[in-house]
Amino acid sequence: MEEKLNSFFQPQRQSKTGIVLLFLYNIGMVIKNMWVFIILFFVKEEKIGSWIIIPAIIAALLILIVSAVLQYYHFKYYIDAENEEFVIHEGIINKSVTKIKIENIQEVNISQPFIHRFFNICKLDIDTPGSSEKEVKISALSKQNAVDLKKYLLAESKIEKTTEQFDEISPEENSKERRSIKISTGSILKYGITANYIQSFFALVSLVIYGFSELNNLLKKAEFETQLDYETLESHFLAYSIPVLLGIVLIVVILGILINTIRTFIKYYNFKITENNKSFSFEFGLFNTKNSIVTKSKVQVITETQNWIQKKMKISFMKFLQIGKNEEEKNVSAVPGVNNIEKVKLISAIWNEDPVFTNVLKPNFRLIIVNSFQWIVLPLILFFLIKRDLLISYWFLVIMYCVLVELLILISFRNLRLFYNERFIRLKSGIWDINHKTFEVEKLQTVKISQYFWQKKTNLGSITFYTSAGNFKIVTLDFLKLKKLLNYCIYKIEISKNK
Amino acid sequence: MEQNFQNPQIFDLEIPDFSDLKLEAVSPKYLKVILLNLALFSIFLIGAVSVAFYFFYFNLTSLQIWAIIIGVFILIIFLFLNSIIGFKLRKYAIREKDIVYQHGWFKRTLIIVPFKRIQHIKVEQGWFSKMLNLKSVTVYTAGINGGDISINGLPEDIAEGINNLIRKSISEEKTENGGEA
Repeated sequence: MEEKLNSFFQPQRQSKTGIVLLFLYNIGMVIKNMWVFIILFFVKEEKIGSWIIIPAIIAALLILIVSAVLQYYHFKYYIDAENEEFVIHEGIINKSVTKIKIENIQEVNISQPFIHRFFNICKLDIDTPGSSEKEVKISALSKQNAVDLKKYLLAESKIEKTTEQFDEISPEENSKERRSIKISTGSILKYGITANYIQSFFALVSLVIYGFSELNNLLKKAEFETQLDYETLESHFLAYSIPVLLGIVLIVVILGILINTIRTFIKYYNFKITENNKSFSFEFGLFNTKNSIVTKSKVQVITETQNWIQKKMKISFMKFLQIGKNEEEKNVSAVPGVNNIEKVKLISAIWNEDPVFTNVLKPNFRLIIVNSFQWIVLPLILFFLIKRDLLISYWFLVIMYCVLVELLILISFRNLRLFYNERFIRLKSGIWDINHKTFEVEKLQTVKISQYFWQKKTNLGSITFYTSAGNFKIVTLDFLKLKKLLNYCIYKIEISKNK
Repeated sequence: MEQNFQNPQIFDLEIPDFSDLKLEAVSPKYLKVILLNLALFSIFLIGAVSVAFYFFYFNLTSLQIWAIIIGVFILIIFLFLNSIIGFKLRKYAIREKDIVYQHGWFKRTLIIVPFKRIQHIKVEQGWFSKMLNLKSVTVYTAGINGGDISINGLPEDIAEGINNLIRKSISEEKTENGGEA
């Protein structure tokens, strides 16, 4: 093993099969860029004789092969031990050298896209803080090499820590190593069926609204006998089509769920979580096996998403937010379809405990008033100023909108909660998908509280928690308690030890 | 590590409270800078609205025109009022381990950044501030969107003093703990 690891200090090339891969990749690129010409060629085949086309294709293939070989020979990577950097040389004409400080490497992802599987080689992506930075990847490595390199790149930054921890590791803990959790296919299917309902729901609502307004028109028209032929025709057509419309709604919803389920299934099939001493590694995917690592000490926020149906099925969706990554970013490590036992296992592996909260802050009922004003009264006033007649003629839609929005406001108000205890803070929010975002007080960056001047009398205010994986804000809470919480958070940050 | 260790009483213990602090005001000269900026902004806003009216003269009802004009004026008056009244509330304090900054009248905000979490500091000076011998200090944390404090309108010597203090405190922290993870 040592021998193998040490070889990374010499400039290395990719796996030999990489040439084939580069060649295929180049062909793919050419086709992608020239598809217009290719289609043109097939459409107007008579204009150009095949005696020109075949040599051209052969020449192009030759050029691609040569360039693939050259690319292969010019691509070198190695670890610069002196500067503790990982270096990549690449390019045939435009040469480029990429250097990354090993201590800055955050995550190393090994994946096996579809084509890679045929050659049994892997792709390796290196992730550094700052999402805008140039992507670093080695596209063809043998599995063994990739795993070794990954170990090496991630081990380097933790050498000091592991030496400290050696005495702590008891036999018991050694046995804990390599413990793994497998998310069953059933759970993933369950998750696929129940997730992203919100989109399906809105599609349904808009269609229902459409249906109602049509129905309304129909009834109106039915009252007046004096009508143009065209309109009666239309109304007849609509009368027949209402069952059809409902059928379409049903089909759309079912189709949406089906597509979503299949997508989730392909993406997360065979989800395996392996727990190591300091990290988790996730492996998943039906066609493309993806692999990502969550370093326990770098986890800033754990979010859990669960809707009503998922609650009944006892599954949820978890995300682990690490330093420098926003929740919206795609490479945030997520686990779909975890049940409660697995959830507790994962959480307690990271924090040594499953947070239990005794203190709860609920938003004041005034939040409902403010939200109603913002989402109902204000838009209506603006609409009234701009297009008065439209508002009056579509009064039915307006009322529908008001009722629906008020309902959503009430539900979201009911779900908004701030939990806290000695070590953790948890924010609960959402309308359909309920989010629980939990983070450690010690790992906060800063805390901000604010209060509008009219809130002074009612003693209300808002608080924002800044973590290095995003901000979390909650409004209209007891300001006195928020002040205490702010004091406490700052105190906790200041007495925390840098690990 | 005790499982589910609970001890909520701590929230009421003797934890340093920021409300005991005597916050310090920024230099009164900075109001001039704010007012100048606001005046420029107002002129720009009025100009933009009038140009829009001139070029895109839609068939607006008088109600709509008045709504726009009143809206613009209320906005400008509000901005001036907010910054003049709010200026008295622009206050900061430096504690041994953190920096406290409060600002805003309409929405009063208070943020505390522990020195431990400061990634870097920036001291800046604009052209008008230079004439008034004022500087601004900005401290940056590793928070993703924001979580930074920018204190404008500090007298030059105080700004440099804060800068040195924080730098010293950070480097002490680093040597004590052997570098931040």
